[in-house]
Amino acid sequence: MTRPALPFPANAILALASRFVPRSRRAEWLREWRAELSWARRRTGRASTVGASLGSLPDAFWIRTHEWSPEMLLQDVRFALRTHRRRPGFLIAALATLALGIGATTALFSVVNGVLLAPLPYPEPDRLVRLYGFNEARGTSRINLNPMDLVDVRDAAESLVGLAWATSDSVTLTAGDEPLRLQTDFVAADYFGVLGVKPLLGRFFLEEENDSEAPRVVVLSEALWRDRLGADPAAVGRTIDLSGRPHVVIGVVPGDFAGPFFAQQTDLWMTWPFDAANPNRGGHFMRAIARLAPEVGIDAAQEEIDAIAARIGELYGKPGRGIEVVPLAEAVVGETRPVLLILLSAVAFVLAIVCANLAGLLLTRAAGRRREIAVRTALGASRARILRQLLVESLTLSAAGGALGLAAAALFTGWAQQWVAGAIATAPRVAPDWRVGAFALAVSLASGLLFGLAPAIQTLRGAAGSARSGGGASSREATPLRAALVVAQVALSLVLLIGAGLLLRSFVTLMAEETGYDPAGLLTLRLSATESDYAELAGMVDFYDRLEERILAQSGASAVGRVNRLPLGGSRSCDWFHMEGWEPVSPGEGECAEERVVSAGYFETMGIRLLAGRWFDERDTADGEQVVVVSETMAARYIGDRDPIGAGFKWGGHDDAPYRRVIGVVEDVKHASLDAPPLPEVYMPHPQYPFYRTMFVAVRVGGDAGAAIGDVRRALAEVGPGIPVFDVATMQERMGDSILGRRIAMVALGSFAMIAVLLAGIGLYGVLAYTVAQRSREIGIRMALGARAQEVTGLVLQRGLVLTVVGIAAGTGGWFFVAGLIRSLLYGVEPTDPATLGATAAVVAAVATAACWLPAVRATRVDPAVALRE
Amino acid sequence: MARITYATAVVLEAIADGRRYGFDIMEATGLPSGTIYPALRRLERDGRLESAWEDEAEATADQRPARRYYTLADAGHELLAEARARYHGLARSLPGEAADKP
Repeated sequence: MTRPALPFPANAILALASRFVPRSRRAEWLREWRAELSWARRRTGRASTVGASLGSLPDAFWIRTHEWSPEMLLQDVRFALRTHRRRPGFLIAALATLALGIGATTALFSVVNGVLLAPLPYPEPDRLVRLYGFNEARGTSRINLNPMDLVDVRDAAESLVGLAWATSDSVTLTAGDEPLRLQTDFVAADYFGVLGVKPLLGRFFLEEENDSEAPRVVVLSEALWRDRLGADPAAVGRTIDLSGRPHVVIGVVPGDFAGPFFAQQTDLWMTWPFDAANPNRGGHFMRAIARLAPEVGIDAAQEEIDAIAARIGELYGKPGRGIEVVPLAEAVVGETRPVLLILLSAVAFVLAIVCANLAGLLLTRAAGRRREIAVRTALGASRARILRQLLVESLTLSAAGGALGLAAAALFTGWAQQWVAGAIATAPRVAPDWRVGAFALAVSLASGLLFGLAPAIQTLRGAAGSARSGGGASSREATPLRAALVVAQVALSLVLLIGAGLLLRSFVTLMAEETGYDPAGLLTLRLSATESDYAELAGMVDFYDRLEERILAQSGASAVGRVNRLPLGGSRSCDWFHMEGWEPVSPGEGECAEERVVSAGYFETMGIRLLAGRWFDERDTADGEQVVVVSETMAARYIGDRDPIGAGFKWGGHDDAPYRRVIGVVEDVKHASLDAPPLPEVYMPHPQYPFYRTMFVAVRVGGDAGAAIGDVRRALAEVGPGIPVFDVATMQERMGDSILGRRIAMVALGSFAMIAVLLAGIGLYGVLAYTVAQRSREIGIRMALGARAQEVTGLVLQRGLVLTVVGIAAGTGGWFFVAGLIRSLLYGVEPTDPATLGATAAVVAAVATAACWLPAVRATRVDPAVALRE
Repeated sequence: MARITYATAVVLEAIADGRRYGFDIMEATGLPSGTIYPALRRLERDGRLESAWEDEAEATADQRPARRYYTLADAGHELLAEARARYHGLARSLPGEAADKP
């Protein structure tokens, strides 16, 4: 080929333009333009050739700015995959840590997405509110409400278009071969209407069905309708026996319905029967929701309800009582929110450590790639092109890690679902949706850029340096960045470890807390002796007495007792009472206490200590003197300095008996929860207060409490065949369940912290190993000059420990910024507890020392002869 | 439908008309090289055009360097159809003749 000469400005313009064309395309580009211009010259002459040559400039600019094309991206990706395949060790380590980091972050986000971001499963959920009671006089808040009060609020409030209530219990279904215990919600007739739920079949309740005199009707869950009634459409209208009374089935609730109050699955819904003739303003046990009227804000509703509550307080002598209006979404999520937010922050820390770790690894790799990059630059790759290539490498890594993480997150969500189902009434579905996918993608890309950018820039800079200096060692340049990354990892992992340590201390403190009873070796279960079993209350009490005797006689149990509500067994009742000698007050006025109905054996069985007076015993029959035992707090708060024994006590609303005599005082029991102060409690003997047909039976077994259930069932089969046992658990299991949320938070944060510390250790190891490799020549010279092994070891250890100490200082300092977040989860320990801070720093220091040790020892193995020859 | 500028449409029409290289297209369309080349690059990147180097022997016989020849790909024919739908009378708008035809 001849290369024709181009006329003057044309060749200069072409040369100039070619500078803008990426080198990889430049030769071909020039060839095309030269051919065109030489032909133009032959055809049209010099002037037009120069004119045509000007077009090379826009062409070159266009190529320069549009160099990035889909094909090239594909090419980059292919190249990146080849690069990764050549380093399987690095690939596996990077993918594993990324999968862990992105997986954990995504999994937690999917929980947050399901719980905090997803709307409640009802129409117009923003208009739904929860109503809570509070009592300013007693400093209590978020308590339940009185049903009669709620009727008054509903009838008076114009800011509400609906108000409904619910309370939960269980009933026995006696249809079929075997009696079945069913979870039942007793609700307002308008309950489903307020929530906006339509029946699957039949209808829901009518307003008149709120009345206790109305025929009893029941609504079934879809599951119950399918399992027990064979999904028979004719089931509506049928009569079923519940706890010995006929109920007409009027409708079926769709299977995906979940009420806003109770985490357990509901089988049946019935109306709460109001006895208008005998209004009781004393008991506060109803949970309530309401729907705001259109255009009414929550503040306006609160204002109106404040006024109504004040009127109720005046009318019925309940000073200080009020009603708080809370968005339902907030009420449902409750205490789960801070736990989730803390865990999400923690997992973000883990991801940051993963990124720092990978950035460190890539920096180490960058040193080895300097020659490759220099060659590519020499062959015409622009800096931008190489930067892009390096970023594509880290992004392909993070994308693959993200895909693996998404799979790991899917595994985790099954477990998370169980937790959420146990903790949140509406039990949102924790399933990956598009938001979770988008989150995982965003997190993957962000982490890919985060851990890829700095090493990529460093690589380029290093390559430029080595190109200038002819391949010399400019690796020291990257060292401050590498050190900073390690310090960050140590600091972040320490923050997580402090959090986990504080939760652990809280947990231990809580478990060691005086419960007021001895939970070890205690089997508990529930039974219900219904009206169909024992029509007379006396016969029902007798059944329980005989059952206790039989269990004692047949099993190895050392004591048996029963109670209407076990500790940790559910909500507070707070029933109004009156002490002898108090000013007579109008109905409903006065103080409230917890009602416990027990058998004589209950105190011994539970291991509740007697402080004064005596237990219940065989003297305390239905006909004997009416007696009560009170708790320590009850005696101190309401009887005061007087001798409590002999004081007169009676319930305010529903106790027709004369004053009952206090015959004993027992130690307080942590009833509501392990971390709440004890409540005033009043114990009554079951024979004298036989209104509870459903009782918890506690059996002190010693040894393996769970295994004793067979003995109990055998005893029951003899004494009361056909009565179902349910809710079987050891007392220790109940205690464990009551702190499940805490335990999950502790275990999750603990796991994250351990992963974090481990990763930080690996990061530290990587940096020191690299340092040793870089300085092997120097170390060799030192050893040749007579340095002892300890001195060499010390040299390496010193560097590692300086980084660790700086990291620990930064982490401890950083802790003070985030300490406030975790305060709500702590119990009995301050967020800045010096012991925990010290212990966790020691753990990090120990891991760091271990991480430093291997490179330090390896440094002593440097052969001076080899090192010097290199 | 992809955005088609008039210049792109005219370039497509010229190539469909048998004009195969830059200067030839320039003469056929009367557009400056600074407009034609970026259009060619874009069309080739998008898969509308295919390009190949002229046979060296042919070029030598003609006593000139080998040219880069452009032809319409299938996607280019589709785009041309769209361009014709948009700019009526496009086919008749080419002023010049093929430069290397005698």
